[in-house]
Order: sequence, then structure tokens, then C-alpha cells
Amino acid sequence: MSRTLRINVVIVAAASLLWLIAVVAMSGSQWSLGVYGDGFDAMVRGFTLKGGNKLTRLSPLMPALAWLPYLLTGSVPRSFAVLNLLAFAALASAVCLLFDAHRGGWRWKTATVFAVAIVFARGIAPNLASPELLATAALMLAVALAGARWPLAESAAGVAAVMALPVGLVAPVYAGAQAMRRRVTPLVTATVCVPAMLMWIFVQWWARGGVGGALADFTPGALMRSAGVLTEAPFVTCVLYPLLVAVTRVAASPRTAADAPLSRRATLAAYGYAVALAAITAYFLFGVPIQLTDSFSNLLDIQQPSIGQIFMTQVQNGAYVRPMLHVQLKLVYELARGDYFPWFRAVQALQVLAALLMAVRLLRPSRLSDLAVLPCALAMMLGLQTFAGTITEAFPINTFLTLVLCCLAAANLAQTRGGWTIDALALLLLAFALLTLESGILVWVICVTGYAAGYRGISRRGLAALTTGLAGYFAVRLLVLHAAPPGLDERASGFGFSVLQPAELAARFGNHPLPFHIYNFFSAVMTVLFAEPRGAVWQFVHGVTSGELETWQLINVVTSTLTTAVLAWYIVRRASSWRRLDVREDDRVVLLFLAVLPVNALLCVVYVKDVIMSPAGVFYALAATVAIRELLIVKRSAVTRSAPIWAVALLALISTGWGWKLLGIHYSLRARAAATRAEWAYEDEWETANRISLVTPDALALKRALVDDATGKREAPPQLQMRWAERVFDKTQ
Amino acid sequence: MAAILVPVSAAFCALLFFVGAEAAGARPFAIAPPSNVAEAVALGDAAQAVGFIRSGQSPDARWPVRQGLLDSQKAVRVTALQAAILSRNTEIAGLLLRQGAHAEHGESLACLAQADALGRELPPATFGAAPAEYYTGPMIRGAQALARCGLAVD
Repeated sequence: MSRTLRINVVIVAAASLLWLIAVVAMSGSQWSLGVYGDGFDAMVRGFTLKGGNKLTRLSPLMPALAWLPYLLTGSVPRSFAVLNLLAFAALASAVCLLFDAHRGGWRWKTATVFAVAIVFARGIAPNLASPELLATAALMLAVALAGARWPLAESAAGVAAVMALPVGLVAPVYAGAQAMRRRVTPLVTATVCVPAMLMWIFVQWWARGGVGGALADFTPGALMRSAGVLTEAPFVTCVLYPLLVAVTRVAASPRTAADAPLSRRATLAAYGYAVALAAITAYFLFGVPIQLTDSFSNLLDIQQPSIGQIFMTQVQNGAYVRPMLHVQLKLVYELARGDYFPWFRAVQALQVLAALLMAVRLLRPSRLSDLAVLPCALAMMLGLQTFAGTITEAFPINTFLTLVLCCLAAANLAQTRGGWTIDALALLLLAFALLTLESGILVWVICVTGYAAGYRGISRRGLAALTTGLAGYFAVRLLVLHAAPPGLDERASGFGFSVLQPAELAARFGNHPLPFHIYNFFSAVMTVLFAEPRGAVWQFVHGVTSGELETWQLINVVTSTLTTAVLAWYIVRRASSWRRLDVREDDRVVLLFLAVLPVNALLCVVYVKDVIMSPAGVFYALAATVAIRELLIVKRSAVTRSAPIWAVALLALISTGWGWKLLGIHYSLRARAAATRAEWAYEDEWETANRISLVTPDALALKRALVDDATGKREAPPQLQMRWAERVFDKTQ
Repeated sequence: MAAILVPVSAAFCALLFFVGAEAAGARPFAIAPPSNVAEAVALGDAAQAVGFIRSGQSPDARWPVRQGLLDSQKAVRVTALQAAILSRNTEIAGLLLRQGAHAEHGESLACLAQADALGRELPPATFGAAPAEYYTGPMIRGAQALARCGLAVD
């Protein structure tokens, strides 16, 4: 027996024992079968797969494997306990195999297996008949065996996975992809994936009531309704797997220089991390229903008119010419067909995913230092107070997030190799962005700055077309639509230590608005760089002077200031090269930020709201990432291969701050879920206050659907009880 | 590199653990969910309270509320309206009345509001009682207030 095998046997045995003790301790004297119990109980006692309901028929492997333990123990709960114990041992073995395949150390292996034991003990103890552990074990075994070394074992694991839960389909798909990647013979490829796929089709057909039932369950609407599958253990495992691989590889790799190039797999792991982070954020987003204020009336407005009518109405809407915003709403509204919450929230989750992936692509992780900085980069992006509004404000479609996507897409287009299709896409992107929000002008700024900085994805002809398009937009807006910018009397805005109402603003600055505009411009710039002021209100300064400083304010300002200091160091260090027109790839991202920041701030001169600065915030995060990884490389001593203590302390502080803010934004999302749900309890009062009377059947149906979503149709996410968190997390986000 | 990687990765792992634990059925850092309309009110969860009422629970029935929510010493059985007063959720009290809750024993409810120092926010007229002083004395809460105002506790 090899040493590795001996270690694995010990780990699996110890973890299985831990799992069993934990399940027995958590179950007490009562063994509970959970929601699957009624169906599976009869199937096990009757040694049959007939009966049960759709839920239990979709997992035929569970009762079938429980028959033998039942014969031996004579008790259904005990037979499921034995089955789950064996399933856990299989899962632990699969985890060990995966770590061995990726040359992970035994410490990581042990920690992961024991963590899995605790998580699954907690999940299985109240639901002994749940097939999630069995499905995860089969799925992970299939993944661990993938590679067509043992095709029959791989095929068997795949068949088991699809017979345990529908999400087991991942197993044959992964096996097929791995087999093709390794260029094995078609016969072996078919062996590892076809039986499981056929079995999956058969189980879906059988359990869902034939072809009709299966098709009905797999329509987009039905899939959206079954969003709960996202929290099932096998699905979560699929998301975690690439991350586990990345961690293992980093842990197993010898101490390499920060500028050592990465393998393609490690680059893929960077994208895997972005996907995992987006999945976590999506989990929190799916707890927040569509908000009542600033949303319900917009949805009511787009119910009856056609897309064309909505477009024309919004074009002639005075100061705010944003037809595409309402067209997007209408499109998703029509697609949702009553399931508004899952559709609109899924759009937002996908937007977050796209934003993170595009950010990773812009950073082009190609060295070890890039990979090390990436988690901090994405934490900066999500945790920055300017980005918070794009995810915590639960509009049906968050326009600011759409604009962030447009800006990232523009930078990604500029980074490509170019061609007329890229030019055409850039033109379409600019048109879409301008007609969604006035801040869409940033797309043009990014394209032009990108070209000036050396990106050649968008050609000169493309830039000329973009500039002509922008000029045309302004001409139509000013000369045809006479859409003047909003005045001071339209919105409240922060000034000094308080928020001034429109009447106060008009009284104070109506005749001489220039000082107020300059104040807003600098406030917007400062909020990105120093997290102060917030919404043009100097909260931190007020906290310091009044002695009421909150811990989260200190964390915000210190973290942003230190990050800005590193960015300033980078700019000063590179400025002389830029003057000689020596611009590196990394510099271009910083130059994009330097162009976006002032233009974005100009768009805030009438009133400042943190979220308006979200595009500048995203490019700030990217530019700071470039600066931090430069610091990592430059400050390493050639002799000791370590950085000076001040640099280590600075980077640790920055990383801790942004890690904290990453936790904070997700805490805010959970708090926002409760607040948004509560809004709908008082919907009748809102109607009265806004003098809205719902009379049409469509309007009443929309109200019913949204109220149901918020007040009981969907299980509310657990309400957190963390009083200390109120002081340390930014609850204003 | 560890300086920049480890702290933020620890935060990511904490999030991952939190999501994994919730997905596995645990509720880390969370309070137990309300099991009836009165508990929802006691927790200040207006949406859940409305959800319970829409699913058929009567706000006028007396529901068990676990220890620690309305009374630190013991569990009590109260109506949703009593729970709103005892938890000082005046906004939810108004919501319950609009949702069809009946202010039975109006004078006792007025007494309860005054015992909880909510006489201004919830005047006797809210419960259909005549304007009067139904309670005098120091502010009392929970089971003690219920008993003092003549309302059943268990």
C-alpha cells in the first residue's frame, strides 16, 4: 500500500467517523427522513421504484441502494443512515483522489474533507432521506475518475450521478469534455458519457410523466422557478470545484517568483474564481425581491404599450432620454410571463457574472502576481461603495449595472485585435448605452482613450463613426428633443454635512450654480478615491469632529486612501515613461481610469449619488489592481525574494480592508432583502401616498405576483442576528 | 504575495462557508424563523406577518411566541396585535388593523400600549376604546404587562 493511499484511508475513515458522530449528535433520539421520507419509505419497504412523487422518482438510486441496508437493519431510517455514511466515504475518497491528481498537500486534503463532513452532517441530519449527499458523492467520483483511464468505472459513476439527482447530468458532460480533450477514441468517449446521458433522459421521461411533462419542466419559465436547485449540494460543488483546483495548485506549487508566467489552467482558474464569486453574489441576490419604490410604477407603465410605443414615449420624456432602459424592462417583463422575480433577478445575477468576467479579461492574468491580486481586485470592484448601488438597489433591471457592463464591454472591445465587426459592435454599444443612460457617453470616452493609450481593437474609422454618432445624439437631443439637463429643483443633493432638498438648493444656488457644480465634481472624484464624501455629504469628517465616528467609516476611508496611495505611487513612477509615449499594457488600464474618473464626475455636477460613479469605481478597482501587482513585483528583494516589511503591512491592510468590504456588501444584500420584503407589506399605503389606483386586470395581477413574491410565495432568506455587524459593516450601502 | 492574497481569500472563504452552510440547511448567525403571525410581528417581519395572514392564519388567534422575543423569562401566547404592542412595532400594529385584525378587548390593548409607554403612538382610539388612562405606573413589558392589563398569558 503506497503512502498516499495509506493517508487517504486514514483521512476517509476519520472523516466518516466524524460525520457519523455529528449526524447522531444533531439528530438526537429522533431520526428524521425529511421531505423525501414519505415517498422513499414505501419504496424501500416495498423493494420497488414505483409510487412516490415526482421529487422521489427523480432520485431512483436512493431507495434502490437502501434496499440492502434495509434487509440487514430492518429500519428505513437506519438504512438511509448507512447509505449516507457509505456515500460520504465515497465523497471523501473522491476529494482525496482529486487532491492527489492536482498534487495537493495532505493538510489541504484533510481540512477539506473534514469541512465537507461537517457541512454534510448538518445538511443530512434533519433529512436522512435526502439524495443530495449521494448525488454529490457520485458526481465527485465521476469528476475524480474523469480522463478515460478507467472508462467503465467512470461510466458507472456517471450513471449513478444522473440517477441520484437531475443535476448529475454534469458528470457525463464533464466526462465527455475531458475525453475529447485527451483525444481518446470515439468508443471510449461514448462509453464514458453516453450511458449516463441516456439514463438521464430515461429518468427525466419516467419521473416527469413522459415527454410532455419533461418538456414542460424544462421550459425557461419552469427552470427559472426551480432556482432552488442553485443551492443544492451537487450544484454548489460544481461551482466550488474549479476553485478547489486553483487553491490546490497554488498551494502545491513551489515558491515561484511573482512575475513567473502562469499556465493556461491557472488563467482559467482566475475566471473560475470570478464565476464562484458571482455565484455567491447571485445566491444573495436571489433573496431580494423586486423593490416597490422606483420600480413598481415603472413596471405598470410598460405593461400595456408595445415596445415601439415605449421607445417613442421615452424619447420625448424631457430631460431624461432613456428609451432603452424601458425597452429592456419590457423585454424581460414579457419573457417572464408572470414569474417576474426569478427573471429580473437572474438578469441581475448574469450581469454581475458578466461584469466580473470582463474585469478579469481586462486584467489579463498572466503571472503569478496577477493571480494573487485577483481576489483583491474583484473584492474592490464589488466592495467599493460606488458599486454597491448596482446590486443592493433591487430595481427590476439596474440601469447603473447595465452601464458598468457597457463600459467594461467597450474596454474589452478596445483590447481586441480589431476588425470591422468590432467597430460595428462598438457603435452599437455606444448607441445602446446613450439611449439607456446619459452616462453612456463614457463608452465613447473609453474607446477614444483606449486608442490613444495604444489599444487598436477599435480602428480610427471606428472612432470617427463613434464620434459622429455621439455628435448626432447631442444634436437630436438638444435641437430636436430640446432635452435640457435637469435643474437644481429636481432632486435633493448632499452639501457639506447634510442633504439639501430641491427648494433649499434652488434658494441657495439657483442664481449662481457654478460653485455647487464644482463642489459636486470634486465630491464625486473624492468619493471614488477616498470613500469620502458619501453622496456629497462629509460623513467621515462629521464623525471625527463630532466624536460619532463609526468603525465602518474608518475602515472605508483608510482602505480607500491606502489603495489610492498605491495607485498614486504607480502613476508617479510611470508618468515619465508616459511622457516619452512608452505605454505598457498595464498602463492602459490606469489611463482608462484617469480618463473615466473626471468625465464620470462631470455627469454628477447636478447632483451626486455614489452609484452614478460606479463606472469610475470599477476602473478604479482595475487600475489599483495594476498598481498593487506592480508593487508586488518591484518591491521584492532580488536576494531574499521577499518584500520590505512596510510593503507587506500595506498590502495586508489593503487586502484586509477590501475583504471586509466584500463581506459587508453581502451583509447589506441580506439586510436589503428584509427591507425590500417589508416594503411590499405596506403596498396599499404606497398606492394611497402616490395617488395610484390599480384598475386593470394586468396591473392587479402584477401587484399580486410581486406581493406574493415578497410576502410568502418564496421562503425568506434567514434574518441575520449580528448586532456587532451594524457597527463594522457599511449599512448605508 | 500572501499578504495580498490571504486576507481577502479568507473573506471569500467565509462567504463560501456561509453560503454552503445555508445551502446545507444550517442558519449561521441567523435567528430561528417565525412559526406564526405573532412571532413574525414580534420579530418585526411585516412581510412574513402578511404572508401568514394571506395563508390563512388569523391575526386574532392567540399564538405561542417563544421566550426571548416578547418576554425574557418565558414563552407567551398572544394575538398578533398584542405582539405588535409588546414588541413596540407601532407601524405593524397599524398594518395588522388594515389587514383585518380586530382590536378585541380594546381597553386592555390600550392599557398594554400605555404600560409599554406607547400611549401617544397608539392612543386608545386605535383600539376602539374611549380616551382614558388605562394604566398608571412604571413602564412594564412582556408577560407582566399582559397580566396587569387583564390579558391571558399562557
